[in-house]
Amino acid sequence: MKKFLWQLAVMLALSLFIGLAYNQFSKSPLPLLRKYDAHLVDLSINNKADKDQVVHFDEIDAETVQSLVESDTAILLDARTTEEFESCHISKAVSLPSSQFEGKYNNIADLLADCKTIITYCEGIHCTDSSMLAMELHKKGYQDIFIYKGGIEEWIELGNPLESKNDVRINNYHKYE
Amino acid sequence: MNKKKSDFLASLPVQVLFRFILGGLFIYASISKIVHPFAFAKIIYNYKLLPDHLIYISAIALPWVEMISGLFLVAGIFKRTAAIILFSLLIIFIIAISFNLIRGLDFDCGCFTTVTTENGSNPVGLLIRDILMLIPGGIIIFAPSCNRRD
Repeated sequence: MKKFLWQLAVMLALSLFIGLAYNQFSKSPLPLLRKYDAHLVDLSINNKADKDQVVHFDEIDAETVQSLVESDTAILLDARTTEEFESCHISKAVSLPSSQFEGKYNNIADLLADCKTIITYCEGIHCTDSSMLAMELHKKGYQDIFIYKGGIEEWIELGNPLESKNDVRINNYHKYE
Repeated sequence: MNKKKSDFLASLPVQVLFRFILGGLFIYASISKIVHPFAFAKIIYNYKLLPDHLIYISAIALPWVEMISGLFLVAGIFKRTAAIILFSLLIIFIIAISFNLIRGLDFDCGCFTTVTTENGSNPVGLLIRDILMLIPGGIIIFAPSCNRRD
């Protein structure tokens, strides 16, 4: 039993030591002491994919999203699935699911060409689709991209306007339900 | 008959074969997780079993536990301990998958690849695979081996 525990300790300590060392010297180390951040994940993957080019997408708050979209100076992209978008989305948002980016990008490429600023959003603070969509757009050459990290969850909490599939403007999610 | 079976399972060629199967599978499974730690952290997060503070440390340590244990098992160093670690990991994976199956959550296994799919993995298929993988581990741990030195 003693022998087993000793061997177990050696193997686990060795694994942890190599893991920490590998992480420390990797190009994009995981932030050990931080809480998990879904958006951080995808940005780091992006950095690797772009061969060390540092890409940073600024966050944007609900108030700014609303003013930019209302004044038509930005386009708001819903990165969730088509079904989720049809069920309920932020008013004036356009659907571009990150999981179907290649297939659906061409449908709205003209719309994006006319627009200076792009804002992406998904479910909420923990979803990653908005970051993934921002990455894909960045690869296509778009520069002025923001992420609305609060997503539709925060939007609903704030009681901001929503729309459904039939472009029916609804004042809050509970009414829509 | 039972004695014959037990002798067969404890024989060196069978033990080596099962060590290579189990160890090799875990070495292979760890590579994608080591290369894509952020994607693996996301997969762990999506299981919704660990607190947020433990996600990153798990994403760093777990693939290396798999890799080191797999290498030790294949190389025949501390082989019973290595088999117990991998067997325990399989039990943990089976519990985690079962728990999410009961909760009805869509999640990606993250077992052999960190590539995520839109609909998640098939949990029943995962359970069957993990249970099958227990067999070589169980044989290495429980079959009496006259060649065992650790």
